[in-house]
Order: sequence, then structure tokens, then C-alpha cells
Amino acid sequence: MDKKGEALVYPLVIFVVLNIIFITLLMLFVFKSSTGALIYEQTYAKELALLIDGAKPGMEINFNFEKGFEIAEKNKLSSESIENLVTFKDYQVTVKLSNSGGYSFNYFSDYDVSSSFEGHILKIIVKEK
Amino acid sequence: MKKLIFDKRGSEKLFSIWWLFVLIIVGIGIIAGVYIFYSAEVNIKEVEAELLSNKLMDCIVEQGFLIEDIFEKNFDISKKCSINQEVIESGDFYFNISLYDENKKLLRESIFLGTSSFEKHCQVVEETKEAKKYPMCFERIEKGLYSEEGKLKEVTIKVLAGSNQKGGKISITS
Repeated sequence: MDKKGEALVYPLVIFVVLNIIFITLLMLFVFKSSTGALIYEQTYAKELALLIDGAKPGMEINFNFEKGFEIAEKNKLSSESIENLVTFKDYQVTVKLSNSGGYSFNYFSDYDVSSSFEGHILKIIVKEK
Repeated sequence: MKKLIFDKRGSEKLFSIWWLFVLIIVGIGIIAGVYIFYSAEVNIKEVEAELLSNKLMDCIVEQGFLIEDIFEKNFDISKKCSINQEVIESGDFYFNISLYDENKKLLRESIFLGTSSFEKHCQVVEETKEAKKYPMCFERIEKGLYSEEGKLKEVTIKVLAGSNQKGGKISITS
């Protein structure tokens, strides 16, 4: 290729490559946001708080947490963090699906709440205080 | 047209800057759209208010009869109904229980806990339907029976409950 040809092709190649990089970055951002933890943390925390407030003492609730596990694994949470994906403490349910924090929501019922995971099922036991 | 854009050096540079500008605008648009969509708040205030209202009603009415303890002077509603007083008084909740006799007179002082301004705020929400940051309320009215001097009398029980709990993101340190 002569110098004139090079001068015509190189800017075009750079232009196309930059466009591809830009579109890829945008798509990555959209994909990461759509599978992001924030919306799931919020939804799970609120759903669990409502479940506790709607429960009666002596109830045992089995809650499917499969999607939560999927997101936590995608976010590469440590095994210790995986064990504490959901915590009930001080009348507050906290869901942590990423390393950047979590989401907390209060429940107003004065119950003794404990939870444990059995596979992807979150077992919640509601007892009278 | 083609000649106009590509044949002159200045026009070609202008075309690149223009394209960069378009890319930036599109990028900002997509990022803003995605951010707004995924940071949307899941609003469960009304459901919470309904749950609180139902919980209180189910607690003070047993098989159609108003519980007798409610007329006692030192009646503790939070203890009786397993409701955490600290959470209710945190500023995100409110409830008010009023008992009326057949002549629509209050049988006893209203029992309330939480942020009392919610009552007025809820009226605003009902009138405007647009106050998104305001609390949401739920009112349940039931008829029941109570005994007075050995006679059964009718009572109207009004339970108003409100919630303005938003919840919150916590940092890794908390």
C-alpha cells in the first residue's frame, strides 16, 4: 500500500475500532447493571421484611433465594459472605449480594427471627419473644 | 454531498468531532436511562401500612369481641400486639386506634404511637395522589362487641396505620 492509501485506511480503521470499543463498553455497562445486585438486594430485603411482618409466631418460612445466590457468585463473594447473605438483626433485615455493601429494611414485629440456608432455600423461623 | 464532506480536510475533521459528540450524547443517554431504571425504588409503604393495620386489628379483636385489657389504664399496645416500639417510633411509622360506641362517642382515649403528622400527610396524599415522598396510610374499620356491666354492646373500631419507610443502602463497613 502506498503512502496515500495508508493515509486513507488508518483513520478509518481507528474510527471503526473506537466505535466498536465504545459500543462494547456501553453494552457491558447495560449488562452489568441489569444483573446488578442493587435492585435484587432491595427487593429481597423488602420482601423478607413483609414476610416477617405478615407472619405469626411459630411459623417456619421457606424462601427461594436462587437468584440471590446466582448474583452473589457472579460478584465473587467470599464463602463467609455467602453464609451471611441475609441477616436478621435489631429488627432489620440486611441483604448483601455484592462486596460493595448491602440493603437494609426494618420490620416492626417484635419477634425472635432466625434464619439459615438449606441449599438455595432460606429457612426463616419466627418465634415469640 | 460526499464531495462536500470528504474532499476537504477541514470538513473531515468536523465530521469526526460531530461523530464524537453524537457518541457522547448517546452514551450519556443510555447510562442515565439505565441508572434511573435500576435505581428505582420499590415502594411498599402502602402494603406495610395495611399489614400494620391488620396486625393491630387482629390483635385487639378476638372472634368478634374487643379484648377487655384495652380498657385498662396501663394497657401497652406494643407489648400486647408484639410490635417493636423503637421501630414504630423511629419516624417511619404511625398508628392510631379509635373505639366508638353506638352513639359515635369515643369509648376511651385513642391509642397511638409513632409520627402523628402522618395523619395529615396521608390526607394530602389522598387528595393529591402525587406526593411520592409522603407516607402512605391504610385505614381499617370493623364492628365488634364488648361487654359493659354484663351487657353486650356494639363497638366500631377504627385502625389507621401509616408507613414512610424507604430502607437504605449500607456500606461495606456497616
